Amino acid sequence: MLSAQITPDTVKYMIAGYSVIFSVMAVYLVSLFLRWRSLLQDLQTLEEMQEKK
Amino acid sequence: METQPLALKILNIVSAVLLAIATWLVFFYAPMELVMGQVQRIFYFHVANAWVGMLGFMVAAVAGIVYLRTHDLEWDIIEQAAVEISLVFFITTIVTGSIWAYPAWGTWWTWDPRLTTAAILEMIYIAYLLLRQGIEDPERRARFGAVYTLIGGLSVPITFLSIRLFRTIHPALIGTASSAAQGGFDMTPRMLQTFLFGLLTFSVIFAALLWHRIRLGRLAEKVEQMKLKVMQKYL
Repeated sequence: MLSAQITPDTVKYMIAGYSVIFSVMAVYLVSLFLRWRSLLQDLQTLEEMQEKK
Repeated sequence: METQPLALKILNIVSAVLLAIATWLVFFYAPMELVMGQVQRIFYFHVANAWVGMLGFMVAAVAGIVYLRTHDLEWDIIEQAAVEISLVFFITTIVTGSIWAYPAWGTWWTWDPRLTTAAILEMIYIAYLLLRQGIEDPERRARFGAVYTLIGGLSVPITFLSIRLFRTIHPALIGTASSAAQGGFDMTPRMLQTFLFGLLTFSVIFAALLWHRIRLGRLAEKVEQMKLKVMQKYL
């Protein structure tokens, strides 16, 4: 007699996997933005220091 | 330098649109795999992340070769950018693989040839970033980076081929899987379309991120130059 195969409920693992993918991407994008902003501020400060002198 | 070029702005929009479509395809277009259930959907972005991770490490190796030939520091910036982005994608690959593995294999981690080579690959490039920080002279740092990524690049084909060369439980998509492989499945046309679209999407995202990271590297270089000028004036 053939028995029907039951598909396991693995949805929580799928949610965890995609949460990791999107979270890591978001954190990396934020890190790029913050580093860019910080460098621009440094550059502005250095330019002001050079002009003063 | 501060404003983004139009082509980069367009690339940003294209990346976001492609990611939205790819996500829709994963959740609403591709059918559910009956043996593993919903967790199989991780596969689409897991492989796409691994692909761009390895692509970036190869881009870094090529940039290293070009730097050694030209001694142009621009190639060092490209190399570092490619490694950093690849590390991000590759760590995601390892973590999502582990999440998939638990329901598929009954364990989060096993020292299987593929998992081991992937972990070593990640550690090789983490060490690259750490070791670079210890070298102050930009030219020495660039030379070190170029040689390192060239040698480190050898671990990419080893990792890629590990599931074809060794007895492993990791399933193979291209070519013949090991007889011990667990968790493999036959792709339906819709699954294949979703998979290929994912690869395209992450390739475009990689290009956009690489461009952004190169711009960041150039800005950091400009700040360094400016610091030296100001220091010379004040001393």
